[in-house]
Amino acid sequence: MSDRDVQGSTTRSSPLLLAAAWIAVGIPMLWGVMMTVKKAAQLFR
Amino acid sequence: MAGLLDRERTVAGPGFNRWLVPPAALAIHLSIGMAYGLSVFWKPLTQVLGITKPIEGDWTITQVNLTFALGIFFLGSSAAVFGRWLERVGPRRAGVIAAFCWGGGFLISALGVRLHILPLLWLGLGVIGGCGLGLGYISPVSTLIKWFPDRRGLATGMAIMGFGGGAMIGAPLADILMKHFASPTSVGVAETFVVLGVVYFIAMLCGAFGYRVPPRDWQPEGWTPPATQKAAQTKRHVHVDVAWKLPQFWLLWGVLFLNVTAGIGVLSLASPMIQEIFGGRLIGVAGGLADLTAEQKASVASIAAGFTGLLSLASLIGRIGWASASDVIGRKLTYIIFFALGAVLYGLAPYAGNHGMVALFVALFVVILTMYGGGFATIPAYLADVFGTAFVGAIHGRLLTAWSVAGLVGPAIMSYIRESQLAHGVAPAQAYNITMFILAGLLVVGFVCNLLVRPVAERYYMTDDQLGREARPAGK
Repeated sequence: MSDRDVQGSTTRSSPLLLAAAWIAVGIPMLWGVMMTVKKAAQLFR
Repeated sequence: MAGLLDRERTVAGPGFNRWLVPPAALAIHLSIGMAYGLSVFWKPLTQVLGITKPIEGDWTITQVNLTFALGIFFLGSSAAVFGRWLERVGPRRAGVIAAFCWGGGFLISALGVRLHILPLLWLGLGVIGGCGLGLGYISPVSTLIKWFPDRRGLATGMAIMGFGGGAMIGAPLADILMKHFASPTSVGVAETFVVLGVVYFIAMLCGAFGYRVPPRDWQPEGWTPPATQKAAQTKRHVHVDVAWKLPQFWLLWGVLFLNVTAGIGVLSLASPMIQEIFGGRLIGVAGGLADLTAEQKASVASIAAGFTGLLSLASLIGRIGWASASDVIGRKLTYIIFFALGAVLYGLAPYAGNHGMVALFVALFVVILTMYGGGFATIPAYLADVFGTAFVGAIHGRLLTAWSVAGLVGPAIMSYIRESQLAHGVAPAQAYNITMFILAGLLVVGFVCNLLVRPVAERYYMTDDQLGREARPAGK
């Protein structure tokens, strides 16, 4: 199934916008996960 | 401004990519998820006057900790009260109001800290911020379920994963900011509240304006609901005012309540629990916690902080992992696994503790916490399967009262039994054994509740006329 959606569509959402949206939430999340992994690593020292 | 917030203005145009909606939802959930990271402020807040140490007139931990309890209480209450309104006005208006409440809550609390007025702290992050939590939490659920009829679990899992991840970003960020703003006259909390309030306000506004609802009767290209698909997944709709009177609602309330009670109880005492059970063994030294030197205790505390971090990570992974898996194996089976496996794992924890098996103990709780997170993320899709999608946001809002109650009951069970055991002379290392069996018992009750969930009887579904009279908005 295609995720580019919507029946009979002509104007697609910009892939750049999609990438920017995911990067905007992905970078802080990765940073947070990295900080947590660092903290959790003390458990295995 | 008002027009921009209208539901009609949020209906997606042709060609809109539905994968733009999850990041919008994540922007909101990552912001409000800081609710679980607020504990980073408690200690500094007890020395706002003394700066380097608490002095006469400073707030106590119990007083400042009430802010969190209020926040969770108002999360559940506002979700229950405003869920129906949200279905009517759409997710964008709710998201914008959530941004004002959560961002504004930080600013009011900052004022409370600056003026050292405790009720202002409670009002800001507890009452007003709590309402922002509730509205923000439920704002994307219904929309995501309608955009992803083929992957309901994955869609809601992505958003609710953000709530689990919010504290992972917010807590270390707050720590950095407090150190930056700390001065001989300030602990840096008020300034940090202002910065976070502004950042969260902007992030949540971006998320709210990123929301789009699908056009009426929209479905993914090339996708048709399989005729034999998941018998438990209804294609019809139950009105929210009917749904909450049905046994299915209260059984699912019990499912969420019991799953959360067990998990939140462990989370609330994770750090002291691992320290007291294993003591010196955590750093390769014989003896209990009481036998260690100050330096050794600091090392043990640091390892316990690592354990808490690992549990948070497990909860986050569980939210997306289990919710996605539920799309394949079904919602009911997912919860059967949570409760059956969870009960076994809780039952094994005392064995691992008594035999000094640290790795097994940690592994048990990592799996348990994935199921705790998974329980939150899978419940909206379960509700949509049972009651349909027309009022799922409002029904989910009412169900979240289970979270508010569990937030009080879970930690209370853990603390009360631990203290009672210690008062009866039980060694600290064994003080959690009975608690684990009680939590396992709660999961057995949850298992039964889940098994009893049946499809809604025909007479409770809305007719097409009733749906029309509800002036259902686009996308329903």
